[in-house]
Amino acid sequence: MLCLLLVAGSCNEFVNINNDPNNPTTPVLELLLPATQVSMAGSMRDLNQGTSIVMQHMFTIAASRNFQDGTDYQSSWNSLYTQGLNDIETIIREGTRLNRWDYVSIAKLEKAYLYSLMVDMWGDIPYRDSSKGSSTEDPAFESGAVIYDKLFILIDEALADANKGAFAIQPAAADIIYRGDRAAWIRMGNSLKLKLFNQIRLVQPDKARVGIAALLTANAPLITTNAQDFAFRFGTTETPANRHPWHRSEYQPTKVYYMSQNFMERLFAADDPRIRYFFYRQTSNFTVGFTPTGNGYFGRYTGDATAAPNDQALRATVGVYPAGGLYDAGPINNLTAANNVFITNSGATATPKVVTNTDGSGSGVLPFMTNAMVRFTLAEAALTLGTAGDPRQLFQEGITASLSSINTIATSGGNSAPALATATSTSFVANRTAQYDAANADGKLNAVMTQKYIALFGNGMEAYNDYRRTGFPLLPAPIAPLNTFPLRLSYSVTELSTNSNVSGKADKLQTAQQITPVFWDK
Amino acid sequence: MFTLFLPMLALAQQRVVKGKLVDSAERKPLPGTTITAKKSTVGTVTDAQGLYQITVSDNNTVLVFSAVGFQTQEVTVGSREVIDIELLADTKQLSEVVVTAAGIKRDKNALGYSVTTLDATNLAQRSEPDPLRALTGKVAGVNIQGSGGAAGGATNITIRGNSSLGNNNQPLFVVDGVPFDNSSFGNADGFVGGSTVTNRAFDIDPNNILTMTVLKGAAAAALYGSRAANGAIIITTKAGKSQSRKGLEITYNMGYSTETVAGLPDYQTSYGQGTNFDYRSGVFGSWGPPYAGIPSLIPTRQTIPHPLTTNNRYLSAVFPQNYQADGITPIQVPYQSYGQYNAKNFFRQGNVFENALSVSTGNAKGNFTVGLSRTGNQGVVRENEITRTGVNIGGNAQLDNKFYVSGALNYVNTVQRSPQVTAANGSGASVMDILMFVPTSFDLTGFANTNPLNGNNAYDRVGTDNPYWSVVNSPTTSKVDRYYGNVVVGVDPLPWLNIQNTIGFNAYTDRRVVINGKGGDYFPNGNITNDNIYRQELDNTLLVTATKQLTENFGLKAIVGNNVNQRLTERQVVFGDNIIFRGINSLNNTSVTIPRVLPNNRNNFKQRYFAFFTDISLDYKNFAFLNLVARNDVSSTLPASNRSYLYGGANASLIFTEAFKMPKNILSFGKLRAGYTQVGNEATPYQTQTVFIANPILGAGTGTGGIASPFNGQSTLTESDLLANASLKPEFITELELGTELQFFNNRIGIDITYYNKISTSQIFTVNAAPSTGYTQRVINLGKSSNEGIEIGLNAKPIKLDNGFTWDITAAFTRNRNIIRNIGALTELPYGGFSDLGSVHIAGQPYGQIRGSTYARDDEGNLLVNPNTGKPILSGKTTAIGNPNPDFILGVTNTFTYKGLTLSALFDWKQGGDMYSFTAYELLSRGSTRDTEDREAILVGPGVLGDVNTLKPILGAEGKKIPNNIGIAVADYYFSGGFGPGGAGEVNVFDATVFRFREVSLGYQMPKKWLAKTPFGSVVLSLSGRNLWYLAPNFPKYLNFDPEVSSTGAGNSQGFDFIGIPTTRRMGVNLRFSF
Repeated sequence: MLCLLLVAGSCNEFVNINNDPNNPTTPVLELLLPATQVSMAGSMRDLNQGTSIVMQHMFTIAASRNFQDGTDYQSSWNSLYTQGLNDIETIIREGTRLNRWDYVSIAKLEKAYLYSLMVDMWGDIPYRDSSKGSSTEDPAFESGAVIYDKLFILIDEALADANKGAFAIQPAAADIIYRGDRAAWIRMGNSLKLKLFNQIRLVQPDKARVGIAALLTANAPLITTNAQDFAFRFGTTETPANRHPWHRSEYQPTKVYYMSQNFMERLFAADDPRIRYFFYRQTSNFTVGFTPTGNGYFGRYTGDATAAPNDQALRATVGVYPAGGLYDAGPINNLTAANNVFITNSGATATPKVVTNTDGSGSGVLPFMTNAMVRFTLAEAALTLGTAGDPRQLFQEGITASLSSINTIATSGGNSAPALATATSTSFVANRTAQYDAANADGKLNAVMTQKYIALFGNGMEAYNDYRRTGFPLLPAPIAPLNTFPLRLSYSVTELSTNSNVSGKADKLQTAQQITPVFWDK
Repeated sequence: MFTLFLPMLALAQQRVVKGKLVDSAERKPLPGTTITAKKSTVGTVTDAQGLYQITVSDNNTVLVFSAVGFQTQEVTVGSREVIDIELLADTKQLSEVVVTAAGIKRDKNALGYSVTTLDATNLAQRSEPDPLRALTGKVAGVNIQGSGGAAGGATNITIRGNSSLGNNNQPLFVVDGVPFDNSSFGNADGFVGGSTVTNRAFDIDPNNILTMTVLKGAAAAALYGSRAANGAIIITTKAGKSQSRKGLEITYNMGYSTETVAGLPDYQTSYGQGTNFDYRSGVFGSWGPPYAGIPSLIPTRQTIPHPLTTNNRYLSAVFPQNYQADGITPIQVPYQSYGQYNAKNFFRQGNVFENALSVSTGNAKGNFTVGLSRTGNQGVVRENEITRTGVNIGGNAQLDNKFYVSGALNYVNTVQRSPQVTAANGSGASVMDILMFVPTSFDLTGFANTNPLNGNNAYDRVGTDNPYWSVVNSPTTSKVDRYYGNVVVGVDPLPWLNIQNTIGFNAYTDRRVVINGKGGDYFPNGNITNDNIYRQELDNTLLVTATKQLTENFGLKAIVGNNVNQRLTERQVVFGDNIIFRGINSLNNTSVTIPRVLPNNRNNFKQRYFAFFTDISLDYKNFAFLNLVARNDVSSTLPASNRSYLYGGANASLIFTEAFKMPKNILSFGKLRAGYTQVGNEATPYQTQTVFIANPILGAGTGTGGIASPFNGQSTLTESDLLANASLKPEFITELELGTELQFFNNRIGIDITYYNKISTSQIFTVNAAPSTGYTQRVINLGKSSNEGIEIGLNAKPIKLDNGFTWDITAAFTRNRNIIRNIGALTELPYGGFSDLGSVHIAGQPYGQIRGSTYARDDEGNLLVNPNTGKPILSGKTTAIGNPNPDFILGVTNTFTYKGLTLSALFDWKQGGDMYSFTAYELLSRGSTRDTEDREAILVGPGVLGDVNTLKPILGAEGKKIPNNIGIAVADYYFSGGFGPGGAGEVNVFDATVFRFREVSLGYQMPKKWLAKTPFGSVVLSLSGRNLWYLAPNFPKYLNFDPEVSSTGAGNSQGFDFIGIPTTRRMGVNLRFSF
């Protein structure tokens, strides 16, 4: 009616109201960058869960029996591609247009890290065609080896970009991980190259050796202190949900996990003081038919197929590292002479309790690539490729870095656990060095990888990579396996049902994942 | 000025004529009959005794006597002063006036398409407060799916199938000429155990409905444009009616009915809580040891420690009565079955209490109506109730200067309180999800449900809230205030010309509060979500109508019109965490509040369109009719280059019995109809531009992987996961409709058959994208689907005796085939759902199939069985596992009338249509019902042994497949990953065929002589019953499952049951008085 009385132009104006009034339509770099880092950490939850279970850091029934299907990792796959990687591409595109090389450099490094990890997890994945929704509806899957080659180039590009202009991210807090520190990102880039070279050492030993040698000869800055760790530190608030996912799921009446009985017993038997930081016992002496330990370290052996009884208030659960839960200061019933040097009961006077969401801070950590990992990687390369560096010293530095980063997390950001005394750390490292010295060549690698495995509690993905590459540490066989040890993770069922490149052969592709090694795995 | 003088001139010769009107057959007086003097504005109506008097100007005045259902008579006054008239019943009876699109009234005979009109007697007083559900089984072509027995549960309605692949498929509701929003806003936070939210057509009180007309096809609805692409339901309320039959009419309706659960599973009573015949407190399953006295190979058990003492969850300080004197040793309680009582005792007897008063008064120049109604429905689940209170006022007046006006104003207040009754996705803190499979040995009724020290939840299983505790502590409330109405102004400047403008408004606020009570296991801190929705619609329609008798035989009616419409939604959701004081349900009583992000962060929507249309009708000798319609819409939701689109069509009808002057002794009436019409359909707003979302939840899904922003105070921005489409075009639906109406043996048998073929093209649809593209969803604009079907309406009067006894049968049959014809280069379009369960469109197959996980099979279709477990191997593929579209729907109503008594009964039968049943999944895998009672055996499932990694059969000696030879326990057969419900998606799908005795009513009209000395004009008393019996023969027998417990409410993903509230049975008494 109105329109009838007005001229045609006004009619157009009348219906010209389809711009979304709720949301912006242009990107903002300093808001996209923190989103990529938050989503990077958030997207890894399911990957970290599944790999932590097959690596016997944690326990759930099906995954510990080597069962996996298309829903297990679909959330990780879907959010990696649709959030982190998609925003990273926007930053690279917009940053290049605006000559903001600081943003571009960081985005490329994050991209290289994420894609390398995704190749490690899944093998062949979309790379070239991905994040191009408006032009490519069905991205092609490319081989992991091809993607790795492209990533080496991408990292070099990123390192070059880092030095192209000012590194001036404002506010610095927009870079949640490194606060806009150019040097830290360069260290991260070089360390990532180191990691990737070491990863391909079985299939391309020369490239690996030359690549690592080049980094070391050129004195390329690597991550050398814990403060330079490439890691995501969680927050303390429950609302908005900023806490570590393990805290969120376990400091609840209903729990998702059992702790791995195998892992707890490994630490207990080896007198490893990290047991009080990694695990919190809700009761001091629980014993149940299938876990006759009687000291409250009540978990499940991998591959246990028994249905879960009503034991949520009895299970041992995650501790202050890496989840931001509680430090276990309770006495342990059955310490023996062999294992009460470092796991001592002295001063352990607390009473266990059933945890709730008000216990601990949730301010845990997801370590992507840390000083400890870099030390252990250099040790492995030195032992297997003969690259520069003393493997024994690197082994010691790795353990020390692990212990001190646990101290850091346990005493900061709202956590207030007692730090491990320096003297204890030193004598613990000396103790492990004696074991290292006593071992033969293969045993030395085993010692390095086993210590790395323990240090990696909280990052099952790297433990899974290491195990497939080196076969260490030796893991007990699952009690009642449903399948063989998975050599790759299952694809997202969403991707398989929506991408026409794979939807026709979804079942074949999916089942082959279990038994097909990733290209670097021989 | 002229008009003021005309009556004065006329005064000179005026005189009065009076008389009485009776019907010619029964000689009873006809009250409310209209008498008008031809070519003048003078008119009156007869009183209750059929008497009238009218002032006439001269002897040449022609009086016109007309009443609905009778043939109109014209009489020239002459010199007479008393004119008594006998009106003849109209034998055609079909010659009723129906309201069609844009409020245009047309003779039903003239229509070239099928419409169905129901009046108050079919809808009100049936113990059904939901106007949509009251339609069930009564109209061919209409499919109505309720969502269980919650008071105020949502109802899905589709007409002639789903036409749009992804857009709204609900018909347009029009109340008193103005569109009436029927949205059902989902909860902002579905995963916390979605409560039942009604759809807003519930705001219409069936007691206030005068007529309800269903425009089924494109031909009928084209004039309403895009919005009616899926048909339209035109409701005229009592406030909006245009005529009052007599001076003063007061009607009062009252109804009261009781409501009980229509069916519960038959629980097994032999085995209690536990696993592998071993008693375990706190587990979900009833796979424990047998009870004492049960003949069994397995040792029976007499007592158990009190379950609430398990793991020191509730110490003696909390429940001293559960411990022995030492305060440490639990007391023993009998180990016996409570399965037969637990669910049954939980439900209460609900009720529906309706009161409606309407008063109308009027004369030939105008009338006035006011109404007041209140309906309360207390559901069968404690704390579940809905009340609807309405006030309406309406009136119209014929002004002396050729203008007329009318207006109506309605206010409705709907208040709903529902517990967490049905989980939107089968997980979360749903009451039903826990209640329906409480372990049989747990005395849910007798044991405490609340911690007496602090008011927290008390239950034996950690992480689970006691249903009794939940319903009290975790309610969801919705308070709706709705205003709607219209103002019509019209003028007849020339005898053949009418101009009319209707302005309408319709707005509501829905203030919702979702509570997760403090002290529950699921949300120990408790939280409160405030969700405020405001929805507004403004609509204006201008009609210019020219009516001309062109020649003696040709009549023409031409309409041109303009329609302008605006809709807007504003919504704000705020989440408050940590309830400070129990029971104070205010955001101020929480310690942290943050805004909740809605899908794509869209709180506010606004859309507009304007349109021009025309409708031209030609008739020839009242037996041949042609109708042409065209409409051009300009919609804000489409890109500028595509936003204007033109469509229309033609339909025609021929009454061949009249045209060919056929003898009427057998075929008394015969009509053919044909129509071919196209309708355009717009998009939903903001689908043309991809946006960025501020402070999203990032990471792996909505669980503990999702990290919220701001993160440590840092805000974030991410590109939306929905890829927009900048070149959207409108959707089109093209429908061919052919039909015939036949009446035999003097209208003793009537049949109305319609065939239609509806093709939908250029579909706007949000589909799941390959995540590697960077998006989870994208908006596409392609595809073609068809709905082809037959509707048959039948009415017959097998018996009609002289003593007044009659037996009437009416039947409505619907058969619709909804096929996806083309989805471009794609083979499948998965949409909706979560994880590996959802819906899918596949080219060449039916619309919206259920998509889920499947087991691997060999090339002969045998299941592959894992030799390690004896259970089937998952294929890793999700495919279509069921077709939720019914094969046909049949409703049959038998009505017997004798003197003042009327007995009416409606049976309906919905054949076919699959349903994914989480109820079957849970109850069978938990060993709850008698379906799994026979369990002391070893079962060997069907299939052949297979390799889990190659998905090929394992070949034995001589290269032959090895039939499965691995025995498993009955519990394993049904539990996770087994052969029975509880396994992969495909084994949880059942055929949802259901037979139902839906409605019965017995009415009695008190004889007039009894009322002679009372003020009442009439009194009608009726008894009614709903859903008295049903049978779904293809579900596991002891579930007693009713497929009308669909959990998806209104929407395009159909065929899912996530354990909703069981349907209810109602028995009621209704009274209607009129004065």
